[in-house]
Amino acid sequence: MERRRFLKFSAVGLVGVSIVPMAANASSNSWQLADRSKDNWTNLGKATKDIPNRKKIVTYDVAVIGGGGAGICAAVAAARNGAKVVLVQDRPMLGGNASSEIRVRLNGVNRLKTGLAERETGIIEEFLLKNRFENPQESYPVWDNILYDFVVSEPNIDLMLNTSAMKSKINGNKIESVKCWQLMTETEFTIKADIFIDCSGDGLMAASAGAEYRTGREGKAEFNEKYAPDKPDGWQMGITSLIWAKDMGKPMPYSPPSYVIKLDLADSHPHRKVKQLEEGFWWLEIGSDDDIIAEYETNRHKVMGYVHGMWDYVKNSGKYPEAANYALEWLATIPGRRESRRFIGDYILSERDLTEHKHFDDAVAYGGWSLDEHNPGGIEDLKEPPSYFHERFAEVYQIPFRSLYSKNISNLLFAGRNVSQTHIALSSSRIIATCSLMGQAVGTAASLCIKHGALPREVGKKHITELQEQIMRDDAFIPKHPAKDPKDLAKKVSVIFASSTKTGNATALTNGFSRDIDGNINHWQSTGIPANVQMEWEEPVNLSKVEIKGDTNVHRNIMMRKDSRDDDHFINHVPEELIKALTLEVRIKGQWKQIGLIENNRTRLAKFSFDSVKTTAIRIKIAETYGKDSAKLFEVRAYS
Amino acid sequence: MNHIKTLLITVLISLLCSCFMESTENRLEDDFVINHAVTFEHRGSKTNKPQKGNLFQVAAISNKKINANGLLIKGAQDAFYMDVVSVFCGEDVCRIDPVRLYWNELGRYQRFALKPKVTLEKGNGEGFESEDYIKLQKVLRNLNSGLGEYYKDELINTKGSANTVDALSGATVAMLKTDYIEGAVWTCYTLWHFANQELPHIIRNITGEQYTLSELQNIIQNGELEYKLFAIEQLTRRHFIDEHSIELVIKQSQIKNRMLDLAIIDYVEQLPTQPYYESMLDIIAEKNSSLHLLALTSLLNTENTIPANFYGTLSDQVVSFDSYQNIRLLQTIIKNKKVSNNEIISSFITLLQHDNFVIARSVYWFLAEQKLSPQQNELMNTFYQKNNHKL
Repeated sequence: MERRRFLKFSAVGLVGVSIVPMAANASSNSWQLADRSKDNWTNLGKATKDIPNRKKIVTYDVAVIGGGGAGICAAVAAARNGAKVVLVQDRPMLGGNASSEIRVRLNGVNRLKTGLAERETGIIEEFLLKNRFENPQESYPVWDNILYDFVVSEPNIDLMLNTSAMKSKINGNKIESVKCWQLMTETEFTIKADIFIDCSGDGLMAASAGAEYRTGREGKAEFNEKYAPDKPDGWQMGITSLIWAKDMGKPMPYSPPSYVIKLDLADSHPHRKVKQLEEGFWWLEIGSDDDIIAEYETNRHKVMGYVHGMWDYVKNSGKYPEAANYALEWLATIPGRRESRRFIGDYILSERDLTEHKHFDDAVAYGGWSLDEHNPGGIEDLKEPPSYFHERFAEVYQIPFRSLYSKNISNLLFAGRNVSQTHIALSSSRIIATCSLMGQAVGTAASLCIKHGALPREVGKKHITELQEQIMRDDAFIPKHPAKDPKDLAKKVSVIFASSTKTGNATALTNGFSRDIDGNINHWQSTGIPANVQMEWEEPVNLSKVEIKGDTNVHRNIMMRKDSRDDDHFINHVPEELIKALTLEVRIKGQWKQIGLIENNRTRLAKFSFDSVKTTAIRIKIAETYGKDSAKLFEVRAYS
Repeated sequence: MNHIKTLLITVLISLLCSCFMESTENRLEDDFVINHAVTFEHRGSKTNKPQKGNLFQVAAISNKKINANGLLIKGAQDAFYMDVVSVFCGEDVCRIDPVRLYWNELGRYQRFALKPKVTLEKGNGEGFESEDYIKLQKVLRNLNSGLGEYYKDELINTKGSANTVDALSGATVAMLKTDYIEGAVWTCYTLWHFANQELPHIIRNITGEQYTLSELQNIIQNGELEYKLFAIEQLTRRHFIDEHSIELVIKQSQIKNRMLDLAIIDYVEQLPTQPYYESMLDIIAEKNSSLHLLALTSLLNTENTIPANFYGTLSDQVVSFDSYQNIRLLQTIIKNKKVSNNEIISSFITLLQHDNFVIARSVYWFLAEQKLSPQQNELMNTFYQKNNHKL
């Protein structure tokens, strides 16, 4: 196995690195974390008295802070589009709230009012599918490893785990560098980059740079929000510690720990139901109306007390005899967070943008989870429902690029729950898969910043079409923005036809919509397999890439769940619609020649890359799916 | 304004509900009802065995909308009815009510009716609301409903996080909400499959048996689209393959309707070899490129013995094709069946001058693999010299 560079700094990913001699500034910085001038180290191996070097400076094109869904997608998008990237994560694993130590479901647009999902594609789908292939046992620690493998297999990314981004250094209105502390190596890193992306949720890096932010709830008047309180207040949705329980097949005793906080649900709101014994209680939540970050340790202790209080109530109140055989098998000791800082961008996304489905010319992502605003007070206000679920959406809403970069720090982008939005908008967009779409968008934007030597705002003003087209080419979806990539030669074909058609039409494969949506059919489906699609140009074209978007059934969810649901809403296996094997042929001098073969395909977006050929026609032959007896495609692109 | 809206909705609901309530005793006296004992499949059946039932055909009614044979003329809505159960309950916790379903003579579901004092119930014991009856009618009228995609076992989610099952809540059924009534998934599923699955076919065949050949021919000639489809389907089923019937069926290709095209090909494919090929030539002679595609696909896949001169005659028609795909398909047929001859080549070579260069180019590459005369080679060279940069 190829060794990765966990800051070994020997390979291509690194733009520059230097090691600063500690002695040079030891006296003036003796109180600095990295100062080790007082060390009294006898190194027996070298037979010397030594001073350890614990201070390093590294340089990248793009620095991504936070390794949850948004950060992973941001880093991978930027890296795949050519930027040298460092991904900094303060935990020992990737995944953020969805990691094995927190285990929040990776929800997205799971279910609209129509009753169906409008699932996210692109990078987020890639690693969810990878999980279905490589983790059929549905193990959370293995899921961590899936994400790890997904990131480290990108040659343009360096991954720094156990590393906290502590403090930004500003030059004018730009972040020049970020000081990080890497726990396990006792090392202070200074990361220099052209573009910084804060996907950390709490956003310490962005906050310390002076980026404007707010916390709490906006009053109704500010954005004309129906569900906002009359007056602004400081309330932020809280943290939750999940638990898993297991049926042991025999009665299991339970004794609560010393820090238990007793609970009695007798008079609680009827929506606080005790019915998911195995998966914990998402509504065991402690929020704050002030400085929720500063209160984290206090609240963590408290919410863990409530978790045990709840389990004590279930096990020992006598009201849940069905719980007699259940025992706790896992408890999150690091609660998942829902809300804290929201940074201010050139646009603040608000409730009506979502409920009225505002069309943004600079849309780069979408959401569709309900307006799921949890109650003020959390578990300490049992009379209220755990969430108001103000409104569900009939269709997805757009998220504009202007909400994803800082208003006052010029080289700062963000993605996730900390973006520029109101508390009510956050109640929907905070969901992990939605945050991941934002991540792919800002990662792609960062790569364009590097390519054009531009800052995010300039990308939004001058290169927004290029940004949107690249996002869609990489298989993320932007509602009501059909792809019109001028470089896509498939748009110029004279003829498209298929060997057979069960539903849809082969001509839909170049219409710019990569899913069936808004009541329109945008696919071609064959009557059987094998099946083929042929495209022909009147004038010969030079081709070196053909990219095909198949089907994974975006109306069904594929994320891992404790209950391992396998029905028509959720599946616990590889989608049967996914194309497994396909070939690409080009016609040269009247003869078909195979130039590409993909076997064991694992992604919706199948890419053929080959030495440039001059041709007048291509033929895509679909040989096999993962179970479906017909092939369905949504898009075919061709590039020189 | 809101008061008026509420009043209108109330009146509308009252009217619709009264349509659903019906006594079996108050049919008009001069109705003549035929009882057909039928056996049919129903996906919701718990026994998985064929169902037996009495399908009643109203053969004459007092308003005299009857044809010469005493049958209801087309458009009469309640030509057939059957009394069915409201639900094959998935979880043995549902109340079963009798429901009468009505179809027209083509087997298209029309409406449902309940006896006085009978109301439908949801899985949780609550009765149907007025809006639920209105929605049930919409659900049952929807031929493309997602209900048709499911087998009964797929409706129950045993791994759902909710403690209720779908029979009761419908909460985890992955269908468009327009396809079912929440809390009454099993009722919708049961009635939809009665209304729209096998019984319509049985009804069509009963009706079809009651039409004579000349009546069916008359329908094909003068009927509306859904009746034409029905009549062609019945000709196919009853294997009427006389010359006049074939001529009438082929003539329908001028209408250019996808469903009709499929029915025409189904009819032609059951003809003996000679009328099959002759019909294919007649079809190809019509200007209907989507039907051409179906016909050429049929020819590509047929195992019938090929008449000696057939492909030459077929290729004569190729100049009139306006579909590149069909021209390519014809080339594939000739190549696969190894039937190339000078007559075919002569037909194709004229296409080198086709206005659509993509077609001309495909013909060039097709002919490049054929044995050509010096004169034909000269034409090919001329084409090559002129278009070399685009080949």
